[in-house]
Parts: sequence; structure tokens; C-alpha cells
Amino acid sequence: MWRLSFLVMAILSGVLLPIRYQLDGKLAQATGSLPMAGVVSTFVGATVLVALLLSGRFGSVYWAGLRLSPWWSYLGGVSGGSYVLLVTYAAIQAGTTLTIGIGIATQMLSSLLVDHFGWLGLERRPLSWQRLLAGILLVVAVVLLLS
Amino acid sequence: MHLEIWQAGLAAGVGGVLFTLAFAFNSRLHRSIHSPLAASAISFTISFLFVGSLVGLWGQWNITPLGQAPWWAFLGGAMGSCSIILSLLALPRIGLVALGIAIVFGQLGFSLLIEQLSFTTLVSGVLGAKEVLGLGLILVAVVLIQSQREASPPLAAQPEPTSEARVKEPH
Repeated sequence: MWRLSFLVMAILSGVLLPIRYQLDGKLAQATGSLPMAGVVSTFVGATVLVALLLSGRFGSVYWAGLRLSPWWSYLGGVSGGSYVLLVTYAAIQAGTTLTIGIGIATQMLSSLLVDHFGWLGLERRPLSWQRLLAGILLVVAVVLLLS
Repeated sequence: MHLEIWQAGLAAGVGGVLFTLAFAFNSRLHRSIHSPLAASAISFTISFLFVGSLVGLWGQWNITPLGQAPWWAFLGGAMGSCSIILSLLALPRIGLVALGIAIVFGQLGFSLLIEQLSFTTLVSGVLGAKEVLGLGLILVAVVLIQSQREASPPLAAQPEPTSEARVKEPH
């Protein structure tokens, strides 16, 4: 029962994503400005996380590690911000389900590659036959969604 | 099919790749500062600074039309943050494998539900048998990939010792 509640939490974590795209897309449509919708969305998102961090309820932070972390580990915000703009654009044009379907497929395909070569400091996970089969299914899925 | 769908597909596809990169970069930052929440907060703040300067340089910065949007449309970013928090809370209890599968099922399932019920203010993707088959294949692929991760412990359980912080840094 205890574990089940955490599983529900995990599912809810996913459920919030299409809601996010719907709201960001609505903001872009209502204001007629996709770029400003991206600015507002990233600002609100950052504010919530910084507030939670400052509440101090989520454990301690090893701040000295900031200087030791490689420069590229700070690029998450750049790719994350670009992701928000692209996904909002896609959701307005094609709806959230197609956007999420294609997004998950390329996300999985690229993580298969990153894992296979152990890029970006991640642990290496070579392509097994299961992973190769999954990759093929993902490519077929993208073709089906776009054709 | 329409040109818009291809453009949207390209945007969503590149978005998915950028998500993988963001996840990998954030995991690295998380290992350095031993806090997934702080890593996400830093990453989201950089997102805002990046998008803000991009939009400013692009000459698109204009807060006037924001008054035309309903208040709830401003909550998109908060949904993203709550999603991160929920997954961080669930991760140590159910593991990365179940978490990954649950998130994919949650987002695809719920999105399909609200679009089929026309509970959306955006264009509703035309979802025929072909598209549903495609989504089904994605779910099978995700389960195949995630079930292989079983052997390794979740990311949160393995913060890197600080002395090794630079070992894996590419030149």
C-alpha cells in the first residue's frame, strides 16, 4: 500500500506533463507570443523550485561541488529551455499526444545512443538485442505517427 | 500529411533529444552537488535566463499581451516543477525502472484521454488506428528498455565522491 502510493506519485509526475504543455500552449495562443510564453513558463518553473530549495526541507546541498562540476553540466538549462520552446510549438501545431509520443521516441533513441557510448559521464550500457529491438520499434512508431 | 505536422514532429523530435541531454547534464550536476532538487533549481534558473536573453536578443520581449491570458495559463511552469518534485520523491521508493515506465504511461495515457474527450484548447491531434498503434509500440519499447535497467541502482543512491568529481570530464 505504501509502495503503491509512490507509484501513484510517479504516474502523477507524468500526468502533469501534458497539462504543462496544454497550459503553455494556451498561454502562447492567448498572448499571440510563443517566445513570451516560454519566458513566463521557465520563470514560474524556476521560482517554484528555488522556493522549495530555500525551504530547506529537501536535504542539504554540497555547494562546494558547484566549482568542481564540469562546465558542460550547467548546459542542462540551455537544452531544457530550448526544449520548452520546441515542445510548446509542437503541441500547438499537432496536439499534446503526438508531441509527447514523438518526443518520448526520440528521447529514448538518443538515450540508447548516449548509454551505448557512455557519453556525458553516464555509465556505459551497450546495445543488447532487447535495446536494439526497442530502437527499431521506436523508429517504426515515429514513422506511423508522422505518416 | 500537412506540412505543419512535419514541422511539429521535427520540433517534438528535437525536443526529445534535448530532454535526454538536459537529463544527462542535470544528473552530472546532481552528482557534483549531491542534491537533485538543487541541480533542478539551478537548471531551471539557467533555462529562464537563457530563454529570456534569447527572446530579448530576438526582439520579441513584450509583456503587454500577457494580460490577455487567463490566470491559470501561467501555471505551466509550476506543473513542470511539481512533476520534477513528485518524481524525486518517488524515485528512492520505487526505483528508476518503475519511475520511467510510470511517467511515460502517465503522460501518454492522460494526454490521449484529454484529447479524445476534447478537453483541450489546442489543436487536437488526429489520432486514428495508425497513431494508436504507434503509441502502443512506444510503450512496448519503453518497457523493453527500462526492464533492462533493473540491474543498476537508481541515480539518487549514488552521488559521486567529490574527489572523483573531475574524473569523467571530457576534454
